[in-house]
Amino acid sequence: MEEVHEEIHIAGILVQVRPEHAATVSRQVAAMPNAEVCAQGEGGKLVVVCESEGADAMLALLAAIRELPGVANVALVYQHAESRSAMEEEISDEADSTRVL
Amino acid sequence: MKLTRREFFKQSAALSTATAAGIPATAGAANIVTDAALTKLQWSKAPCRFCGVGCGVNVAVRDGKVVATHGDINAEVNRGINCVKGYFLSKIMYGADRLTEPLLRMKDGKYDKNGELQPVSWDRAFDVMAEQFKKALRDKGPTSVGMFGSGQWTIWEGYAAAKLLKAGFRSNNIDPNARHCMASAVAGFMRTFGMDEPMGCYDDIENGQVFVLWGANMAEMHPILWSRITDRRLSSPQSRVVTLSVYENRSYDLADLTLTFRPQTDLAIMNYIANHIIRSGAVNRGFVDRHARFMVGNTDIGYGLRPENPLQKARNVADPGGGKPATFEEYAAFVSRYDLDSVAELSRVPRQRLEQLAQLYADPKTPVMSLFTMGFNQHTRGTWCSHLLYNLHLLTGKIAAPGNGPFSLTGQPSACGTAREVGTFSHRLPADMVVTNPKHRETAETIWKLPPGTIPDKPGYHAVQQNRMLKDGKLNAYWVMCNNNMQAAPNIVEEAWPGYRNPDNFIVVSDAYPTVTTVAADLVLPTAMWVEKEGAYGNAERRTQFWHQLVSAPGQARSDLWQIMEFSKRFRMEEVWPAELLDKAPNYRGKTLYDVLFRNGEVDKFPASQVEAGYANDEAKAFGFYVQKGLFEEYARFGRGHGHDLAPFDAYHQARGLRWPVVDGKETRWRYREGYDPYVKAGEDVNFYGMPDGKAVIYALPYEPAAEEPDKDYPFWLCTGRVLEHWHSGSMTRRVPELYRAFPDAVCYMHPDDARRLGLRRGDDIEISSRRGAMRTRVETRGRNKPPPGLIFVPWFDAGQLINKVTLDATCPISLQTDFKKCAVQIRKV
Repeated sequence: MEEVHEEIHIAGILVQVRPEHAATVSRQVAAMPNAEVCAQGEGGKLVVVCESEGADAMLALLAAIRELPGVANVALVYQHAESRSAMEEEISDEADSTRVL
Repeated sequence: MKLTRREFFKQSAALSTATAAGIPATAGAANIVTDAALTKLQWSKAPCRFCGVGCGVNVAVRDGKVVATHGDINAEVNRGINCVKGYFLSKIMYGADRLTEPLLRMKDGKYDKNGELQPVSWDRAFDVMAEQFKKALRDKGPTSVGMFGSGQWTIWEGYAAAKLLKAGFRSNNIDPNARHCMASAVAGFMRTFGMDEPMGCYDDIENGQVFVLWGANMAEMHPILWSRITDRRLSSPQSRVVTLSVYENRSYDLADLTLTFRPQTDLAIMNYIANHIIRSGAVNRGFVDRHARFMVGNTDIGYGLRPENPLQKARNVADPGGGKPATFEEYAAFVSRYDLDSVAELSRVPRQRLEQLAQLYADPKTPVMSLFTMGFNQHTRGTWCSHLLYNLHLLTGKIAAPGNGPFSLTGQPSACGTAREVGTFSHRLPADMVVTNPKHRETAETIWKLPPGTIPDKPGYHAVQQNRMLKDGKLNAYWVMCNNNMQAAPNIVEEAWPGYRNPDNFIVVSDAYPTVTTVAADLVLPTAMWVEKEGAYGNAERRTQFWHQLVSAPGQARSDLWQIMEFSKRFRMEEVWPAELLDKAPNYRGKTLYDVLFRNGEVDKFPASQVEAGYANDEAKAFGFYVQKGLFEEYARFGRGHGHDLAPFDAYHQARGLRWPVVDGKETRWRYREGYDPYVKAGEDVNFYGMPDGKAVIYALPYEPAAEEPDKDYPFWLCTGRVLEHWHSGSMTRRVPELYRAFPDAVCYMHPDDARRLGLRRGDDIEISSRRGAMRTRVETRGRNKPPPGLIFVPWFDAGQLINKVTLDATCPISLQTDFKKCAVQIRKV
């Protein structure tokens, strides 16, 4: 099955790292082209946001993070996917306050 | 402030993840509150469709289709996080090959076992099916009809199926695929505590200090619980993780202590630890004297094979579960032969590692949580494994308290809620009751409004026995629901396939997708799945969880519940019950099974108007009453008032699940412990009230060898199992292209030295064969699983590479669960 890479995937993941490796892993993840370390918590927790073209690239990225020495677990929290053109649209953050969740 | 949707979603991702991780959000991220596009989605809660952990997810529906799922931040189980399978949950219902109409094997427009599967109407399908079931009942009686169900059935589906078989057809030949998965844990809990399921809950993780994994690769099979254990390990410096397995796996990454042992020697390791506890003076005598008693169990009990197999010439093959009372001193003498040196030699685990593990169990100040799953349950001595582990917790009193206790993990989403609690096993009734107990049958007959003597008093055919009896032509009309047993069952070539294709038999398979099992069927029924129906599951920590129907099933697909109830309309009571039984209930004359089982004044008590506004309910619409509520409330009567209490139906649609027993609206986190369990009275401290004397049983049981061990001709151990990306037989996950590509085909994990000796390189095609069958796969010498020399690991999710053509149908003689983890094979390059 040929995948058309027009869909942009965004995922928020929680990376659990042995504390002694946290600084190194944080640097290694930050150096990956499609991953961004957004926050770092106590006990070796990294909040990482990933972006990729297509789900395959996302899974490969998650697997690459999982394979870094010192990483104990990678858990997914957030995922969203839509077309590249839709992703470029502008929205206003005051547009609607009725979201129920 | 303007921002692009990309920026918005990235900030949302960061915020959600930080929140789930318990990290304070940055000021910038906290400003994100809304998105106009998202308000077009209708969000509802549901438990995940996959494993027994029971994660809560939020499901988004737009235009009648599930378009997204997110981990539910309000769900205590997973607190907003998800595993990779959950990530693609929204896609499992939309595979291109969904079954949407009944298919009957036909030639020249008529049913023919050797015909091709062709579309028919539901009416036609049920006509042919009823004719075949009636023929079997007429010719050979109730023991010739049967059903193979699932721990993936919703609670009411399993309940309706058990009622149809045990009360309607008067056949106990109903068993769930949970027999392959959980039966040893059930037998162990029942025989030790008199009640099924763990005493503790997932909160043990945050309260715990030492976590010991016995034959459980949680990093891959239970990733969300693993993230909780990881969190605990990394944030609490004194905590420790210990893994025991027959090969190195991903759970070893976090472990402080690892024990890779020779298959089957877990029995000896546990007895060594018990011996160490006794010799080092670590027995909690106060606890043992008050809350435990001792038994010596029967040994030499065979391997659950066909009677003509030489291994069945064992001394206690007729009474595998028997035993006699013993004293502490007799028990201590029994385990004394499991000394460090001999167990180290037998298990091939270094002495120092065995000692370290024993010390963790023995130290009175160290809480220990033991987690176990398939390596323990799928074992020809699986029930013994449970006993020997409970012994360690009972000897030290480390049980039924926060952070302390044995914990049985489950593989299927409702292995507990449906298979175990509803009792869809061939020997069981709801709420831990059994068909062999006259009082239990009487209770069931009273609740079900049946004349005395309706429910047969002998256990029916269990899972493995069903395939054998199909092959032998004794089980002739057979309905498989919600599972893929032609792929999952052991020894397919010799038992399952000839059984399904036996010309005497009519095989019906209900499923959402084509599988190896539907290929072997005579009639295929298209089935609604997950949020296409209102449902309820029970997870591994006794948590019952409900969801609403959120979308419609495609085409003619209908829920298992609709299929069971609609099919029951085809039988007049005179066609299924003998005259003597009907004489005892003359008002049932002229009625149908549907009238007697489902229009009995209980199941049809609640009107369809009580379905929550805004949600569809196809079954309530079809039958004219709130079917799910009526079935649940009737079922709940079995358990209320004696420790199995379920909350009122409506409460579960509000809560993120509740852990039973639920008494006065309160759930129970730790059973048997005063202050936590409402059934334990003040001053009792601990009461194992499932047993008449309130005491748990410590069983003296030995190490005995596996049913088949490697030899000159078949020099390797074969261990089968799962991988993270696929769930069980892969019939759902392999429909999601991304998951399929993440782990496309099964491989044979082996040690590089073994590969070298056989002249094999990574990626080479090989044939794996046993005394029963052969299959082809490829060599993998790297990656996540690292077997020791002499053992190979092959996952079973791949329908193109059926490893169960090779496995042995040996079972634990007590639990009747198959050992998929041990048989002897040879390997050759092809």
